[in-house]
Amino acid sequence: MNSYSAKSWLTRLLTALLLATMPVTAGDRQADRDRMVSELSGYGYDITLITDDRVLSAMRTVPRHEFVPAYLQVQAYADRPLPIGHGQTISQPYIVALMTQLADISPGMRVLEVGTGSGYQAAILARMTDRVYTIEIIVPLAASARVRFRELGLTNIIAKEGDGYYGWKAYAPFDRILVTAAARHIPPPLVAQLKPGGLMVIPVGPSWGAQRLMLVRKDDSGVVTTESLLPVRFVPLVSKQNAEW
Amino acid sequence: MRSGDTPSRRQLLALFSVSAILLAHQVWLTRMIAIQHWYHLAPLVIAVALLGFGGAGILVARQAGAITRHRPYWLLAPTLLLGPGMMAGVLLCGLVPLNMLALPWQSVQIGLLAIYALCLLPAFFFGALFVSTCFICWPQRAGRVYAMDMLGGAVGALGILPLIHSLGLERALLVLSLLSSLTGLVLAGVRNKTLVACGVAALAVLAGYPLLQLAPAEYKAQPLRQLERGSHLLLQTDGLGHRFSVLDSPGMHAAPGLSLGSSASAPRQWQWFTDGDSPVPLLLPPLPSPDFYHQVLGFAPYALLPVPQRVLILDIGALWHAWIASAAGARVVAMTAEDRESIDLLNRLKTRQPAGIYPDGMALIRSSPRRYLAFAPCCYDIVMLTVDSPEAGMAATQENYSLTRQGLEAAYQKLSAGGLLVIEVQLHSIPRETLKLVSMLTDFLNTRERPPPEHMAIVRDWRTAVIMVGASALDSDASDRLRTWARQHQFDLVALPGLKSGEANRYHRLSQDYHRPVSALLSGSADTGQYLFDLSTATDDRPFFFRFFRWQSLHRWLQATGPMWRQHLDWGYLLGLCTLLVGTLLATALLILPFRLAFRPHQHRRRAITYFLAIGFGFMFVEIGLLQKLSLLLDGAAVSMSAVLAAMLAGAGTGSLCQQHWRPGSRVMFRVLVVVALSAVIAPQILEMLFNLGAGWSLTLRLGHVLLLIFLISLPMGFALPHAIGRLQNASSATIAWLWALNGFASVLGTLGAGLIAVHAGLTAVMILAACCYLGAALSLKNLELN
Repeated sequence: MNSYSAKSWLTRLLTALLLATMPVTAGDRQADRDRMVSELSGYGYDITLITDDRVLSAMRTVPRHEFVPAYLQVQAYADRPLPIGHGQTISQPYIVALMTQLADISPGMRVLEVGTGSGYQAAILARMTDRVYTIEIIVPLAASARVRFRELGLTNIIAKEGDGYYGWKAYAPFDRILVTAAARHIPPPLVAQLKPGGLMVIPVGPSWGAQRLMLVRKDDSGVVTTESLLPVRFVPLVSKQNAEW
Repeated sequence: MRSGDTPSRRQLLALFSVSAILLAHQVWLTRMIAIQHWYHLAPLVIAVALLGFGGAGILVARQAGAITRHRPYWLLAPTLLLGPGMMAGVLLCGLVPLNMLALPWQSVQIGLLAIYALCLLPAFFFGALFVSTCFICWPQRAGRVYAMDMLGGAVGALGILPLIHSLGLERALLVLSLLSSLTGLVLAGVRNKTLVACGVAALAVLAGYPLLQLAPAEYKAQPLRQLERGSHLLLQTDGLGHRFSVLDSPGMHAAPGLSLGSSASAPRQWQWFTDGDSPVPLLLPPLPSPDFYHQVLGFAPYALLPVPQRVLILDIGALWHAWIASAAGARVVAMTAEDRESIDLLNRLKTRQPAGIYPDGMALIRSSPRRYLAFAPCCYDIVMLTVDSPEAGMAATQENYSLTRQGLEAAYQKLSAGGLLVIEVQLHSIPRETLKLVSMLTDFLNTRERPPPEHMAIVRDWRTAVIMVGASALDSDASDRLRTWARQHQFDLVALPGLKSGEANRYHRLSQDYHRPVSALLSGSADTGQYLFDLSTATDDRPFFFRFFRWQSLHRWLQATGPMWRQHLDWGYLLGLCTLLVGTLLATALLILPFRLAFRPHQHRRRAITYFLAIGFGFMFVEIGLLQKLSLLLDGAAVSMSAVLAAMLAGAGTGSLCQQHWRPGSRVMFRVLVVVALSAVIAPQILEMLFNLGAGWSLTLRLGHVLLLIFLISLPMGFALPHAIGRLQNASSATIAWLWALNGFASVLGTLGAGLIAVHAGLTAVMILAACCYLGAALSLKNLELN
């Protein structure tokens, strides 16, 4: 038994012990998904408030529990990130919903996802458009996601193992790009593969920690700007006269 | 052999050896934790060690009769179990899938953290069992036993870092573990049975060694990179303070601050990891053209100051900026590195890639940033610092002497006329580091009667801000150059003389704009006391720049973040507090209650209790206070910890031996304790003088002075415990055990509490508290005897 599988078994054992007292629901978990969606629709404020029915509808149909390890399926519909192995996570449902809403996907759009991970985000996108292209650099994650897509019949997702930094030139340009892990700069090849008028959504910050979402917009003339959105309502620094700055 | 006998030389040598192994293992474990998880978990090791001692103390106290009857077995068995216990504990720790980042989200992680800590317990328990057995077997020779224990610990604490450096971490553990088998042989002599027992213990250690491979936890950057296709480890080396690794992977594309408008890709690179994290790009040929560097945010200072002659970069992790400085035409580029191993590593890589790694001609200086500023020749056109705060506020209780008012002033003083102090800082979801830095810089510019708005410029992208402070006021030409460059490469201006609100937050729009709060801070109209974060100035006495948590804001904080509070809370400070609470509970449960309930010691007096509590707290306050203070002079926590532990244990051990020979009366002892109290108060001032005098000395020379100084301070401290034990000859063994337990309890709380006291009130306050403890002990001396 190698170190990873030993660790994995230990985690499973402990989690199983911890969850032994919790009720386990069988079946496709539609009731759990409905509850998750109803919770999400009240989250956020202003632009980060989840209001897009298409997003909520997609999240109501995609079985999130199929995208997490078996021993964590009980927690699949809680609004929290979960580990999927190899140090990676499946993002918390709120962040997935917000990213998808901000991407403003319409049918017919060509969407690229960089960082497949478990494949959950790609599955949500696949419910909203005709073709989703997704790239994962971590070899075992890419392989397991491909198997999962096949098993769930998600035939409109084209997945490959590779370096997302360079995008996917063969299918470029893209209307939307979702990057699931922020680098210290926005990869120029991705900016180049974004259509004029296109949008890129990137979460900034650790997957377990304080994330803000960044929107990269390319206007019709090719000028690129970014906008960072904080999904919390925050009281800024005030002046000595109690006026907010 | 009766319990009153004198220990033989072999037994004393074995005690010396076991104590050395235990202390060395303690320091070794802090390195392991830093690699597997975070250095900030290091107090866990101290707590576990103390718990091991507590558990062993209880067993020894309960089995005192059996131990004195079968002393040879009680001495040999723990000695032989120590090595396998160390090896097994470390192997088991490597199997625990602990994810510190997931701690706020997954309750299972708390269980995993507890299991991780428990894996380390057996080794300390066995070691402590041996030491406690020695104390119970030779109570009349407590001074000598205590001295051997302390001196052994001192050798272990001092020797482990060179051992790790020369052999590597894994082999150093093998040597320590095998040493315990050898100690068993020394203890029991070469006889058939003993040989077999020692051989079995050594074989158990050797069987575990091939499985030993220290690796960072999965959530750290290095293991993630190693999962990429084509990724491979180029080299790995253990320094005095860190493990360094260099990886090659086609998937590495760091180009920090590259403009949105750039069409260039990140240059070819390797990446250099420290303890499995904090990747630093090491550029390889073909190198980008100088034009490439004009398009990155780090070029901002060179837009203000086009032809700098001399550039000083105070962080080896900022190699990227060395390339920018070189491309900008700097004649001299110098960079500081806290350890020699970093420099050796870069030079080794440079021989493999002569055109890459770092710019030709760059000077690598072995020094911490702050120490170099104390002796560096004047002057530099640009002095640069970088601020990279760990996630979740984990550095809240970690000292940092570069980011104190004195540190920033020292950097500012090294500027030539017209020079720039440059600080690169990472932006967080809610503004804090940048605002604290601006607040601190504004304060010291005001004290120099230099109007902050005329001396400061800040430019940012979506992730990073570059703060630039001029030695003289920024003129309109410089401002225009920065404006033009920022516009050309789509960077946002936050502060610049004459900047209008409309010019800010244009290309990288943040929901929390920086321009207005920064303007308010620069003009002095901001009310920082009402802010969500603590923006108060960090000083050399309270060098905790990354402490932002404020109790007053907690309610607002939870309201603001709603269901997202877990992600946004500063866990570092709270973790320190939780460690104190858990430590208190465990120390109460394992040290106080068992003695209180099992032995029912009725013969105690308030004075004896006060005395034992006071010297327990006092010793740990001095130790932690000196440890944090000395990381300024000794370039980091690892060397500081090793030096302070070694010198204090050696000093206290020698003091204990002196006490045994001299046996001072209570009047002399009173004076000794007053001297200790005075030493604790003046020690910080002496260390400050030593820093001013010896900042430029070699590590050996600095270490020599520090060891001598702490040895002298702790020598009289070693009198305190054996003196009291000697005065309690007539007390029952249960009462003595109870007082020992109180002393241990105070040590646990003192260790965990001193750091938090320093965060709130400063290091001077910790030392003053230590002095008060020793004065309290001095006042309790009278009528200490129990009948």
